[in-house]
Amino acid sequence: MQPPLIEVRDVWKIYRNCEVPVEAVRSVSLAISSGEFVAISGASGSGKSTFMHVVGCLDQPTRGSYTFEGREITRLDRKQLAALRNKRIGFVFQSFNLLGRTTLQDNVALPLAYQRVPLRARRRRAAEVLCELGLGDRLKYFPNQLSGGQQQRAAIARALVTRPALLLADEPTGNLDTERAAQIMSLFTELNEKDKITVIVVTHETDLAAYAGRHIVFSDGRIISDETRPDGGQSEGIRTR
Amino acid sequence: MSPLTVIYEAFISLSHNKVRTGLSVLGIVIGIASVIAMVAVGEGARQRVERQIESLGDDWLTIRFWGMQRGGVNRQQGVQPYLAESDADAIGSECPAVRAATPSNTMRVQVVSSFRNHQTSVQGVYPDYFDIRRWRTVEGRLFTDDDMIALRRVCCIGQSSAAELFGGVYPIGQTIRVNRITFEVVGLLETKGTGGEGRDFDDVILFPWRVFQRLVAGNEISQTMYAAAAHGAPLSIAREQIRALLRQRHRLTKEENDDFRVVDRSVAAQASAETTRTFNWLLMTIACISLVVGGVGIMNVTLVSVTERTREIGTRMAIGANGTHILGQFLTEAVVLCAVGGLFGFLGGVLVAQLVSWRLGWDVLISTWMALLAILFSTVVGLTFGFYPAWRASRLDPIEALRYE
Ligand SMILES: Nc1ncnc2c1ncn2[C@@H]1O[C@H](COP(=O)(O)OP(=O)(O)OP(=O)(O)O)[C@@H](O)[C@H]1O
Ligand SMILES: [Mg+2]
Repeated sequence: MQPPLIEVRDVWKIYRNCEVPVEAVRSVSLAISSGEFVAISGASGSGKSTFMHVVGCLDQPTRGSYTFEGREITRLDRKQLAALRNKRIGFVFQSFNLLGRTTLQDNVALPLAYQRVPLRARRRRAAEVLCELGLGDRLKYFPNQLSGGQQQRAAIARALVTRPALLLADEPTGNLDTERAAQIMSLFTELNEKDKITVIVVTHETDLAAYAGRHIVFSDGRIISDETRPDGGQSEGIRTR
Repeated sequence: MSPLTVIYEAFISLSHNKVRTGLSVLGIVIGIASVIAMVAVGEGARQRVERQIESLGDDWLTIRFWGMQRGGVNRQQGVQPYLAESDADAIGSECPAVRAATPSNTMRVQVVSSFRNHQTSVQGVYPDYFDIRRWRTVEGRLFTDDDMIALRRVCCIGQSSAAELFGGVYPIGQTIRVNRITFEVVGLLETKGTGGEGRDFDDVILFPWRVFQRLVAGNEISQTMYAAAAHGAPLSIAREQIRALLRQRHRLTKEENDDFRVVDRSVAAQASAETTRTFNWLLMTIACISLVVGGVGIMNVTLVSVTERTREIGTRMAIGANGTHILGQFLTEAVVLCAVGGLFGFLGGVLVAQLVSWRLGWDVLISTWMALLAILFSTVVGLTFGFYPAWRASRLDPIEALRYE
């Protein structure tokens, strides 16, 4: 058996900037293999975002060990983390975080700019990914000229443009209506099945969590439930609902 | 990121806040404009002083009678208590390092032309004086040894005196009266400009020495003498030879001080050049202060920009920008801002310098290296004052930046 893509062992995240230290993540251990589609849910303030930031190499755990693709993340410096985020991890936010004043194409091409891919090549690649996500006719649009669903798809395109091994999404559907939310979740399913990208999605809604093959529930900084569906989340019933 | 991309992004982001960008650039424009204007004015002044030194010549000496310094010491019988024509002749003929020498006597008198009266300096000199001072005519001719021997009542007139006495009338062939004696103007001298002390070198009328002594001054005294070094001979050697000769001629004993002074004109010119340099530094300092004020404006606007775009910084970090990328981004914005200001500042400075030369009649000098200076200065200001805000941006924590409202 090949080693897991992500291995988290006894990870703690404690915020000490308040009067009482806040233990946002408490002793979480978890392994996620390449090709999995994981949904994370839990009450507000249960530490889901904090955990995602650690997994996404945006933040370092206070204690514990985290290996990504066999590398110990807690030993990397800021620059190495940035390079890892750039090449191996795509992050999708609830509020899209596209740069205004910048066209969709250039927004999507931005991660490649940090790899010093030449302008033409990165624009071509950005157009390719946007086309795949159904935004091929919106390349020169600015984010504020698009609907929320379209903006989120552009943000996903930006996360995918460097062909990462891992796609993280923290409440990607939080700002979208039910129909658009379902479309985004179907898109994740498709990426996971077709392109074999490992996907981790945080979502409040259990019916959206049902798209994933594995469902983890957080409560008060700990994992209280971790279920893998026997059919790997690929039941006909879910995808046609 | 490639440098071109970074610069392109800087232009995009700056162009979206035109009013703010414009206002912050204004400080740099004013700063660079004043630096360029000051440099142009300063260079103009420096070149003028240099031209003046050039036109005055640096190979001649003034010898002044300084007899009062002898104090109570009794003069020996039969020794001249002043410089005389014969001293000048001796210097001219006996000092090998001297090319030419002339006695000189200057007075301020009322001169009368057929148009006007004018109070001016009248001076009697040998024709050699023109060679010593490198003075030429623009109209007519210089007076000659012939004129002096024949005691012709002729004179050469400086530009300012000519303007005062004759207005626009062609001065050659006109007559002037001094002490009720009529002289003919035979030469109009080229302009020598004004001295550092505001003295007008062109407000003078020159007469052949003997004519002047007899008809204007009425004595043989030479207040002053001028001597020029022989070609290639150092001025210091000429000075020493003159000193030795005059001491001998004035029969001064070892204990006695010189009763004359040999003054090097270039000393005065050097002093004038020194003053100009000091003045230039003062102007530059003031200009640089205004540039620093402009730089603080850039720092301020970059800080505001960093704060405003904290979420953008977080997003960029999340998709793979490291501290260096962010630092480069904001530093480039500050430098682009300053470089644009430097460009307009250069144009503004040239404009101001032209205005100064046009309205005040000052000499200004504008050359291409000043454009390079503007670019260099503005870039340095951008790097200096952009660094702190850019560094702060680069140190932001990705998560905190993303959370920023
Ligand atoms: N920067 C911080 N400083 C102090 N405490 C923090 C910080 N970030 C998060 N916390 C605390 O950590 C806990 C977990 O927060 P987190 O954002 O991970 O929750 P969440 O599960 O994502 O909630 P939600 O569903 O509302 O997004 C909360 O109690 C929060 O107050
Ligand atoms: Mg959250």
